[in-house]
Amino acid sequence: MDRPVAGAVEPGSMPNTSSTRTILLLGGGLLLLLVCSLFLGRYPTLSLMSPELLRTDEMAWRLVWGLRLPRLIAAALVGMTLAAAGTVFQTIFANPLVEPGFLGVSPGAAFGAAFCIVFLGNQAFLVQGFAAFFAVAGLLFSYALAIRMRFGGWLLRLVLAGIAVSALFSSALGILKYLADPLSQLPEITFWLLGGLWSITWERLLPILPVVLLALGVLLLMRWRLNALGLDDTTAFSLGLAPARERAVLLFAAVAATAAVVSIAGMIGWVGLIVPHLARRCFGADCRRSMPAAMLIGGMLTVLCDDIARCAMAGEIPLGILTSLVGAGGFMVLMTSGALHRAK
Amino acid sequence: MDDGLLRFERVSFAYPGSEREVSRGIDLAVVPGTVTAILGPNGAGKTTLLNLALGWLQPQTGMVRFEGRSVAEWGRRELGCRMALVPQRESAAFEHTVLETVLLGRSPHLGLLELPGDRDVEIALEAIARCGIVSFASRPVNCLSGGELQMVLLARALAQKPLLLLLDEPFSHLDLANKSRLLRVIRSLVQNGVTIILTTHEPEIAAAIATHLVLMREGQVRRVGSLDEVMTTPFLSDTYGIPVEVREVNDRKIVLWC
Amino acid sequence: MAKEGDGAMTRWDGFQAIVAQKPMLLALSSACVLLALLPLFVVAGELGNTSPAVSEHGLVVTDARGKEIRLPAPPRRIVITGKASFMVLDAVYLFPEAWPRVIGLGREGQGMDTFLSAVDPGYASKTTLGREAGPEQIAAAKPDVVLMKKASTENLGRSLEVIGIPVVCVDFETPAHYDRDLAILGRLLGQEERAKELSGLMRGIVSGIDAKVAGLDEAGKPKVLLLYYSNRDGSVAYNVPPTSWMQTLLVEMAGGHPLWKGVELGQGWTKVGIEQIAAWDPDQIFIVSYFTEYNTVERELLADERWNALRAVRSKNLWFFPGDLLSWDQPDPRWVLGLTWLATKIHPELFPGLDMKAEARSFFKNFYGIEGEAVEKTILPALHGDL
Repeated sequence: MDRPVAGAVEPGSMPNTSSTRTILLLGGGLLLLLVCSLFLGRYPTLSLMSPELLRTDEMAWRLVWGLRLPRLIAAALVGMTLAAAGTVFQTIFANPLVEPGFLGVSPGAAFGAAFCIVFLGNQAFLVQGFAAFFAVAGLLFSYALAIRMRFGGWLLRLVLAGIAVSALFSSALGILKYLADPLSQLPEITFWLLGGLWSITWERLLPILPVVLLALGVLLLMRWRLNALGLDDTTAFSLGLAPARERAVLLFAAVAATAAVVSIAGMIGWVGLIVPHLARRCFGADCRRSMPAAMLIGGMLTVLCDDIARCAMAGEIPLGILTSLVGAGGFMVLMTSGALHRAK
Repeated sequence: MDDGLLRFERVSFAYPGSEREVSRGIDLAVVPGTVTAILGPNGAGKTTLLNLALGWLQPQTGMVRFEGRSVAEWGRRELGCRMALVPQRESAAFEHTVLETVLLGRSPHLGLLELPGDRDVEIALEAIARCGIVSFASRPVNCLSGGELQMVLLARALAQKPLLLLLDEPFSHLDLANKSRLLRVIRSLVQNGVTIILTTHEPEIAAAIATHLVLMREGQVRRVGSLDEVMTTPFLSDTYGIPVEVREVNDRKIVLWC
Repeated sequence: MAKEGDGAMTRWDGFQAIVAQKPMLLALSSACVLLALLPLFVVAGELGNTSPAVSEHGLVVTDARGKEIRLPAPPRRIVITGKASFMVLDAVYLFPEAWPRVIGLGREGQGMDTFLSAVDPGYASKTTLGREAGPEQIAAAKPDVVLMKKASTENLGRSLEVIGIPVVCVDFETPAHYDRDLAILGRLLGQEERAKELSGLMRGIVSGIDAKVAGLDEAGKPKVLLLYYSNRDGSVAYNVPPTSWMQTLLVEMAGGHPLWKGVELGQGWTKVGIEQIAAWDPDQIFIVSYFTEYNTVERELLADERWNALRAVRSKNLWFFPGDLLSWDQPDPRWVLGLTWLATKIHPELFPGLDMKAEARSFFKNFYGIEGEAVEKTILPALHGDL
């Protein structure tokens, strides 16, 4: 089929072959990383376990299947969710400096988890539930506050409301830390705040899977529509969109997935901020490609950081620290280097 | 179809929470195949008029009809396939290419979860060719000058394949060469059966392109009619509030003011 | 779009077309695949929960959580880990049978090392697990059972149970816990006699003191304040313990009236200011300091005129809580020594002529089986506080 005009341009419109191929390669890369990470660990020593051992040693099999596999899946999902949510937030708010936690979601989750740990005990389900609940509550508070504000346009109001709600939750968190038992509770809270996947088992992962997979599905399916939702309201309306409603759907899906993932992994920062930038640099700003690319890059980043977290030192390094190191460092490199090679 | 693609029937509108009526008792009919220029000083309520036509704003009294049906009854997507807006300005936060931006114009033709296909790309490319910006179709949008960006927004609106095209002050940021190019594009659109409504505060633009003229001042429509009828010295002076003089030179009206 | 003209091109094109034009199909098929995989996940989840079959040599232990743990055989390889594991370690070392069986532990301080090396010559060669040892590292030590306090059971304990390593929880936070948890350890180690002996010894000490103070009414019980001196980054604070902690219970059992009951704000040490201390007007003040030397603390206190104005200080009723390599106020087995000492200080008239050094010697002999040179050379020199 001839497209006479096409010959004159290099259309970046259709996900053309080689960039689709690159994304599929990324997907393959993530799977490969996951499989390799399954065999990496500290049992019986710090090494790459041979598949032989898996067959002969029952403990090895139980370790890999019962602890490592859910942990790696969780790591991948955390990275994918935060990156996808980051893309959504940055595109809708047309601001490259926002990340999924900023509308009161992250501080809310931290407050919920700390509240539960201090007053209601350390049971995993309770902590998870409270974290997720207050994460979504943080978003709803921000929304409610933004509606009542008498200052500025809609997006500005949301940002200001997010800042206020975040500050509120953060100070409440400070009080909780003061009240916590320094022996049993404070370390729990601190570890939760620094983020870590060290206690993931299947029974903690399964409850969040439906929410996360559903939300990620929604985000992926609406990735082209997302491009238009960053335009201003009148223009979006003239293009046949319902801007408020569609943005709400996307934001809610992004926040629900983020809340679910944060409830099992604690605070993991920087992934949601920097991975969308990286994906846009390499694949272009169009969300049709930058969204799946961001998800895959985010997944690989967290799996890699998690590998380091559990293998580098005898004790566990909190995952949030590693993602911050890598994220912040990568951010600096990204901003100071020249334009990265753009996938054609 | 009624007589008139777009009709305003005694429409009044004030922003919620404000008592000042931005549009007062507007009566208007736009006939297919014409170019209607809405002319008036700053703050006359021209952009509001376009937003009312789109259905983005709902009038307090009166009704806006498109193809005989009230705009409020039309589905958004349906309306989007027939009516398009070229906004006055747009800032891009990210580096979407021109083609990606124009492709967004296909949104009303696609379902919520559909992705654009080959045909959509073709249409977008045609729109780009129409506006004469083929040479930078794959450049990022935030590297373009104001005039080039305006053409991109026009191409996006054209990708919607509208029957009625609304342009909000399209000539404000353009130099002479670009103005001339835009005029040519609009003329070719009219030849292809698209109805045009544009707002402007420069009478000479109206003189160059419009077939019909709407004079607005302080939210009210002062005069409606064909170009020759309405573009006269007394009417324009009344609209702008300063003495102006309309003269005809080489079959074209020019406006003198000081 | 550049044409490359090979077969792979059309396959990508076709795939691309499906992805682009039939997103619902893609979504539905992904959902089906996931739903099909779900039973697999559930099975996997169950897998970790199977416990080994109990053979005739096996035993069943009910731990501090009330959970029944089945072991195929008496454990020969024991790992002690988790937060504050030193309390469990000290308690486990009350059972000589256990010494060779403890194969992995978290090292939490110099004092512990010195003490336990004096008790068990084989101690120095035991494996240390890192501070935040993960389940993999623990699994690498191939334990038969892992002991931990309740605080660690939710996360670390659960992970270990998932991979099939039995976890027995013992808490050792209060005297009541000691009764219960010593019995658990006894059952676990097959040394139930020894557990009964230890419980009996402890109860003996407690009842000996209780017999003399039980009859006292409120007026007969001095008003006591126990403070923990903390100096973090130069800011000095005096803290009171929560009602449920060992420190409060010790004061009560020794026949004192703890003034701070009910004051606690949270679950840990609560800071109190000098005004509050003055308002309480205690008869006696006991100071505990884990990290700062008593000389330093005493110097600071006596230099402060507000402290000098307190009645307890003026009447020479300011005491520094003793300890050897470990302080005697903590839920470590040494709490019996702490109790005895408190009793002599709060009611000197009821316990005249009690020699704490002799008490300490008999404690280490009965409980840990060390005497003579080991005690004189290693433990007694480390004695500090107002003995």
